[in-house]
Amino acid sequence: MEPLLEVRDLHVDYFTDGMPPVQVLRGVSFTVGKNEAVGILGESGCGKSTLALAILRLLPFGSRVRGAVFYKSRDLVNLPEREMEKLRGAEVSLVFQDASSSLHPTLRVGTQIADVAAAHHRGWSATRRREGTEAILREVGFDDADRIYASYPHQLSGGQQQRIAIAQALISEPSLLIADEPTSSLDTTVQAEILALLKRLRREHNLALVFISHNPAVLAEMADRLLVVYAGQIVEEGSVQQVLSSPLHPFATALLRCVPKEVRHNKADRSLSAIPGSPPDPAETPVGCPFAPRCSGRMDICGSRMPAETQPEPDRKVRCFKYGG
Amino acid sequence: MTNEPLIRVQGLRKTYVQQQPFSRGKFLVRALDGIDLAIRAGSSFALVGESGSGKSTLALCMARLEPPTEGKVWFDAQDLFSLTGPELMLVRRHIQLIFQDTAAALNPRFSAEEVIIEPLRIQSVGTRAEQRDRAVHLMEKVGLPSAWLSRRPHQFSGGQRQRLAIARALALQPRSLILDEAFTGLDLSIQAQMVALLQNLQSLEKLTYLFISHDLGLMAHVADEIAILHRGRIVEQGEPGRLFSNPCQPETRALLDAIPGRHSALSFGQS
Amino acid sequence: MAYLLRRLLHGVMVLVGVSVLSFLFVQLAPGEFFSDMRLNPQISPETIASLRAQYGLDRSLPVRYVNWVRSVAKGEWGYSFAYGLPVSQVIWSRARNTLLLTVTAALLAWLISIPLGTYAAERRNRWGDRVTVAGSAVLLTVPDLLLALALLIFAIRTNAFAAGGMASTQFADLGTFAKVKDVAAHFTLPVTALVLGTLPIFFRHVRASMIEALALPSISAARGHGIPRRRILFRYALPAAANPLISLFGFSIASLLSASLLVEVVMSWPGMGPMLLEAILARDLYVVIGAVMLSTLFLVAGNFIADVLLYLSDPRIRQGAV
Repeated sequence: MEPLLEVRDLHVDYFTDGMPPVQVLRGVSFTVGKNEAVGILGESGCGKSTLALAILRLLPFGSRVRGAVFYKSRDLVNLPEREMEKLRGAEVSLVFQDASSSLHPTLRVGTQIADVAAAHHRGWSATRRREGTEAILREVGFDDADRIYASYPHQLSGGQQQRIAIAQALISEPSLLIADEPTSSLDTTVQAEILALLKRLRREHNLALVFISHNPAVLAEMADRLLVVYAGQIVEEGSVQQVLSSPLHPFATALLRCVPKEVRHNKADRSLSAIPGSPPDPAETPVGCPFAPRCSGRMDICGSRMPAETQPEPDRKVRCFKYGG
Repeated sequence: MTNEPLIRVQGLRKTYVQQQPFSRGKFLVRALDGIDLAIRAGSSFALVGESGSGKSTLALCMARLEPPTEGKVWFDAQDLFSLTGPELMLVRRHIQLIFQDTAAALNPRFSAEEVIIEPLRIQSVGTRAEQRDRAVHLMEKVGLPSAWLSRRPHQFSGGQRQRLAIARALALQPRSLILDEAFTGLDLSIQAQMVALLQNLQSLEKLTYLFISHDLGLMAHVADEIAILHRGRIVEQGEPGRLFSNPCQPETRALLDAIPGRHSALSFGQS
Repeated sequence: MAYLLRRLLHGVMVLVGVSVLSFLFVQLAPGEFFSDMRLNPQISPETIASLRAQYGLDRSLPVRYVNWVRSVAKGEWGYSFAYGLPVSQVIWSRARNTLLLTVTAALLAWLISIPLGTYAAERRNRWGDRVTVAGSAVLLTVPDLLLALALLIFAIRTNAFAAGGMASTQFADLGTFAKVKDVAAHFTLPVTALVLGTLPIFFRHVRASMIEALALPSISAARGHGIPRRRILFRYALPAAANPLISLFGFSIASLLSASLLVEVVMSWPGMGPMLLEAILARDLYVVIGAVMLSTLFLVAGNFIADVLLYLSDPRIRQGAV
């Protein structure tokens, strides 16, 4: 079956005056099927947010994109900007991490949602837009839709602001929602509410989802398939069950050991093993495998060149010399 | 270890007046509504609650940065809010705070060295040379290269800045640290590094920790005892193991249920 | 609301303070209106003394101040020695002419700089931006005086514009429409000089504010929702950029009476500029004070208008959240 979204060998470089280009994404390829939920797991600086922006062509001036992005077989990289505007929010929507800064501070929240409707439903009258906005507000969990319509973002809590952002993303019935760390700045209980909301909306609207996070536990709840990203590349791919229960790539294995687990009673057991070192700086181009400096299973070959992607099991891919490459 | 707790809080209440955003009236906010707790020396205590539960207000009161409306705080059997002058300065050394937003907590115009020795300067401890040595010693203790003493905070990553904040907190050889959402916003692997560092420092320096967080899962790993805070009151308190297996209060259960991935059958790399 | 009332009160205090200070300072300047007369041997000291008494110049400073305040209350603002008329009359006719110039120039400058600055901000570091920024840099470095003189020379050489003065000599004989055309022909040059002087500054500020606004996450988010570019510019980016621009706008109101002094003198436009210059040189005490007070009034009004606009434009300020 034809995938909804296909990304093929995507490279993104950032250029700043007088400095060599920073390779943020180094050849990323994956697909998202209709109604499928794909999770993207990675740490800060690995390029996961850039991926979201690159798909929707929202990268800042000074970035260069190479490779291909296809949505329903349409070439997004070369689409005219006018067409791209029509696609954003109506076919593919994006929800950012920090709702408090992605909402405009001096416009009422309802207006901001109605504006999205106005952009994509040209035929709707002002009344229709208002009704549509109140409807989606109720759908995302607001009982008092008309009071919320009239509020300003700073009058709402973090969780409420994120619901507004989700309402904006969904009012035009997209087929694909990209959520970039939507709950990372929220309290755990609020996070649980938003995740539950997203799951429900996904079911009710037959949405495909690309969920980006640094927390494997969140992806365990939200995703069917998982892509693990390190230093701008996909280093492991497989179903969520497979990758989280029996990870192949050393980075995935090490990262999962950092997840706080069911507590044991003995204080000595209460340690979280850490990965030594820090996430790599995108400005530095590694020779060989970028995870090698922090890898406990490092071999000589790891420093010489980048491992190729291999398929040790059906439907599982990994980029590590331990599995060929 | 004596039986007397290092930090004791009794009947703490804090109320203030706030303007309602949607109406014309003002109303009374009970940020803290009668808090009692006791922290043993050398142990790790965690206060877990959501935003608005009062946890940050409690941290500020316990560090004597905000006066309570009612109630008392004792540090090492001394009434914190009745101390003045040199006695107060002495006790302040022993209660150090670490915040979430290190970029805001560290003066961007100071070098790392200046950040670390600032408390020494304020309390006039040691000569300039002694202070510099101490800075080198502390950098290494928190796992940062001493060559970075001349760098500015913005040149450090988030996790490295947090280490710098810990180094500064240790400058005056305190007996206790209050960590207010110190791990929030850090990558998981960095979080794990911080936990390991703090656990290591605790045994080396005989420190008492008070953690404040909304992340119950993480607190279970670092704390000997957890108190669940809800709307300014402690609704439940106990050892992590007991809380997880036998939660009594609905607020505790809500926090447990909210832990992501808890209901999925995955074992996170354990199979 | 309370916030705005406080600002208003603040403005009133500034006005009172300025009146007292300007009284003091003018007093400190050596000489007075009648000093030159003293040098004239034909005028007896008694005449001078009686003239001084007539104008109240022999009284003490506080008394004179109080008399002046009374005169302000009556609407006269004191008396001009040179013109023999109440100061308010003298100043107002000139102020009208100045405002004609400066209001037109300010409107034009804003109307040009907003779209131009937005254009440059959108095309940041690309061709369009570089050209406009370079152009504004050139205009900024040329002193206003030089600009005015250059325009004057150009006008005289080419006879393209009426140069100097506000109206032709046959003004009184012209029909109404022709009168308007005549004045318009005369004020083209000074307005151009003023616009060329202020445009680069406004342009730079608009560009800088828009660059910042366009970089805001809320703008990327709006783009991410497919909101068309035009709408983003007007509904999302300009309001976000408005804050510093409102302050600048307040400043341009504040300087409506003072900005054109140089241009008026060079081009002989009968505005406040030349009048103030004359009054200072002649020690026409109350005219000077009156002009200073009127300028201050504009300054205070400009600031207050900016405060009101800020209050209206940002709900966070209105609700005391910021």
